[in-house]
Amino acid sequence: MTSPQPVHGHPATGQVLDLVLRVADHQVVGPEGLLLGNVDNLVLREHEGRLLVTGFVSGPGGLGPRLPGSLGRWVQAVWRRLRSDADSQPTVVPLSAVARIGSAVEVTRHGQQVLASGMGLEHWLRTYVVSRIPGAKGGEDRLEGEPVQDAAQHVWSPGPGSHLLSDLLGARVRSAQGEDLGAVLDVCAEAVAPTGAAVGVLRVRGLSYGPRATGSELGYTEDPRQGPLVLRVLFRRLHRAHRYVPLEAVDVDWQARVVTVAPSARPVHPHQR
Amino acid sequence: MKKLFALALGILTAIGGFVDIGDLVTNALVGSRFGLSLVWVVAVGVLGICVFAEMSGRVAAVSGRATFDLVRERLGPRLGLANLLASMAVTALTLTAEIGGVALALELATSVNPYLWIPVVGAAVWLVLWRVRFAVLENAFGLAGLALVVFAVAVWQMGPDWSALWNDATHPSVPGNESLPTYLYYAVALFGAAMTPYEVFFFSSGGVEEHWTADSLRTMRANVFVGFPLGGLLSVSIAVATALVFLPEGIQVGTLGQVALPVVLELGKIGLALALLGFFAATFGAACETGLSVGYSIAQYFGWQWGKYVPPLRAARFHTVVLLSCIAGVALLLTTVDPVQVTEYSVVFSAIALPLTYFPILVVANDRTYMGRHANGRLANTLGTVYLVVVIVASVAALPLMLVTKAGQ
Repeated sequence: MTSPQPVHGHPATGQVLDLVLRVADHQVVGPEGLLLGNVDNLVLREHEGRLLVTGFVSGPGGLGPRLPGSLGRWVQAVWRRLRSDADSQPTVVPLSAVARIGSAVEVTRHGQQVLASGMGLEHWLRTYVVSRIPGAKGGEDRLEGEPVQDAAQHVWSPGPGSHLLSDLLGARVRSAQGEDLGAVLDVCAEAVAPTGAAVGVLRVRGLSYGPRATGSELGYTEDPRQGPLVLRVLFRRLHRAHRYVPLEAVDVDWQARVVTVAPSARPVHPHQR
Repeated sequence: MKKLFALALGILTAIGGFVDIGDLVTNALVGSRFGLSLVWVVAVGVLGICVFAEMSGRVAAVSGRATFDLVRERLGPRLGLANLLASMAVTALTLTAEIGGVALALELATSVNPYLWIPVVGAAVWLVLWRVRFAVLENAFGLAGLALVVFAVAVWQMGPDWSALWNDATHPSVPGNESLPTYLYYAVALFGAAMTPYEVFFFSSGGVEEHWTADSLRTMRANVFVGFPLGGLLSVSIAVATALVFLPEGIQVGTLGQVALPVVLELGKIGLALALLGFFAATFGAACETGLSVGYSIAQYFGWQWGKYVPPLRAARFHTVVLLSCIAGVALLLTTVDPVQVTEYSVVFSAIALPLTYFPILVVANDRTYMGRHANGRLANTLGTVYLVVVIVASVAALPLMLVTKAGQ
């Protein structure tokens, strides 16, 4: 389903991205090539019956929910304690501030400023540790330049219709009869509204799920040509029960983290989407 | 002309930078106990590191992503984190061994107790990582490491029976006084010494530091396919030298001083001076590489700014990690562990941890969305798959062999 050429430029309308394989856990790069963090989580928003990907979260607030059990809770709890505001939520970079999605996610200057406002540890170490070592250079930097005007607008607020990708990943998938079909492994989205030089917004098209999560992020389930041969054969066998189903054919219960596949749906292997 | 010079410099530093404390100690020890019967493992390991480094260097040049970046991306945050912890434990152990190795080399040169040297060395390593430019760091220690050629010269001077040596190396058999599990344990150790994970962390991140692009692939391949095998020959010459001197006497090499002895016997003071310079450069250079690798890998997992190509204040988290890892290495050594033993364990744990990073790189080197026409071809995939099996076998076999042989006793 992925395009044969390397993804250059922002995705054209209709281009399909597997969010876990192609976006999540990717390096975020600023306009001058500065490394700004990882895409630790994605923000999903229900809008007029569609599910849109509107932004991403970088940092422990986004990473915590994706780590297992108590480790994840600890990461989030420690991170919250170290923030100044009591009930802080992670900062969201809107996809309108993303210029390109390739081997890295390239953000615009605005995206860089939003990310810089969330880099507490970096700023603390810069101020209290590294700048005190003789020979520290590069202090007057662009990251701390102009503060983001509308900071509050970039905070993720949990609420009806607003979700994180981690709420969907790993959710149980059931058939209409209640039979367990596995867990959500990847989310497929397409670019709908590229604005100017930005990615804009992605619309979720469907979900991949299956009983075996092992190796599901390696790309063998999404890309039928991914080599080498031995691993391709091995993972095809391992993931032969994996299925892709369009979003219209499922009902997502966000509270219980259960996805129910409608009886009319015809799930296919991800290679046959 | 300038290009040719740059190419030659790259190859020379690759040769001199290939050997580290793990190669020194393991090759000398194996030479003194098993003669040339394990040289084949060095050959397998050197080809393996060539395959691995070429893939990761190619991915870094084409996509701009270094090793741990890709580990996180392809294994996800959970498995990636477990991988990070294991790989960093091994790399920190290797850093400890390298700092210890520098202290031992300085002890041989000055007769000052190594425990006095250890904090000095740790501070010096950190200072170099803090202040010295990446290219200078890489080239200076790589070139000085070439002094280890004295081992090859010493072997030449001894005038051994070359056909007998060749026969020993090509018809490997377990020596009469050693058991098969011990033989296999040292095979795994030698393999881990040749294919150490940090070498690839450093190589791929170094590619990003030096702003490689797809145009750099030719130079990168020359460094790998010419430099690494010649570096491997240097390590073999150490094994041959100790085999010629110690094997007939039944002496097992246990200190860095013994490693240098064959050179002293043949070449005298000048040989000793060069051997010590080689030891110092090889271990100090590798200490810098491992120290950086700890910082690179942790920063890449979390997406932090890393590297010496930005001013230090831009990469505060990275430089803090590097500083802490130098302190941790010194602290571990000051518990009075034997650096030679730390080295012996670090190479075996390297072999255990290797598949964790090898596997994701093999997968990404095949991803045509990133790599386009630079994705693995048939040869790279055949070798890549064969070595996937080899690294998994070595990794799985390492712990049982360590337990059965009581770490090779």
